[in-house]
Amino acid sequence: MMPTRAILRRIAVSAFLLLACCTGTPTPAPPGAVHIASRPPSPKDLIEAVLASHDTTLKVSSTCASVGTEPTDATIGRYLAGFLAEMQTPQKNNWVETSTQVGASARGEPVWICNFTLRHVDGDDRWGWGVRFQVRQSDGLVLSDSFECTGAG
Amino acid sequence: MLDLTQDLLTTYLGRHIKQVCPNEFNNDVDNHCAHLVSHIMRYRFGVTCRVMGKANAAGANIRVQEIFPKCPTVGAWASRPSSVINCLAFITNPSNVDLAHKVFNNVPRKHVGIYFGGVIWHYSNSQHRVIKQTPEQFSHHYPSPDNAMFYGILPA
Repeated sequence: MMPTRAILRRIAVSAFLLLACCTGTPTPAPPGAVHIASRPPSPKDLIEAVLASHDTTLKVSSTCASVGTEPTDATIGRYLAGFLAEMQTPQKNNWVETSTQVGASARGEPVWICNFTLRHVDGDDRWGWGVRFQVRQSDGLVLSDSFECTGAG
Repeated sequence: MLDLTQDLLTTYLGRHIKQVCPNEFNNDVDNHCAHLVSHIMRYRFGVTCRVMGKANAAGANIRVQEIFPKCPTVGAWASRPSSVINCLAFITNPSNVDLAHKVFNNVPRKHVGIYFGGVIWHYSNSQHRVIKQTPEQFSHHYPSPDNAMFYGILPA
């Protein structure tokens, strides 16, 4: 049987979520949440958000399955580090690409959809691997469950 | 099931990926090798151009490391049975491939094409068009040691 305290807590959480949902109040940020430095995010803010989200698991999205340069790669940080390590040759074309567009989250909140891509072009050796994620416009919260891994090849 | 023929493959020869992909995933700085193979072979699984581009039509897979494990049988190109006359042809550093577990790491220098009629049909990312080459020519796609070739029986 569930203890009274647990029941009360469950009711309180449910009531809060219901209130948040019906009044349009943004869901509170969980501990350790990442916020962008300014709104709308500049390329620097966007890159900082990616760095701060390095420990996001690759299980966050099916698009992130098998994207690591090694099978043991388990986080966004480890995945991107694998491609950053390939950008050490100064005579090749390497660059970072960022972009932002407006959109809506799965909950219908206005967000900025941010793209971060590491690019390399050297003849047929060309690739662009990165991430796409959402930033809530109301408070600049990086929606950690919105991360997707982008890239082809 | 797709009826893969010389005539079908010939219709793709010389085409830019813009003329192949209805989902407008066609940036020249992206790598379209798996993308082209998947449009021709109608591989709809995994991450597709529909996810990465615009959702105008059914998507085609865009990642070598997702196609490789779908092949019923894989092996080193040199060990390809003589009965295998149509298959996928992969090239990369041998350390990136685990044949026993059918794993292909997502590394920068990897490429795939379709072996049919004695030649390999693939997307040249530097020439921005579909080309065909003999296996010997294909083996120079990347310099050594990133030029080990592998075969994969065509996924259904």
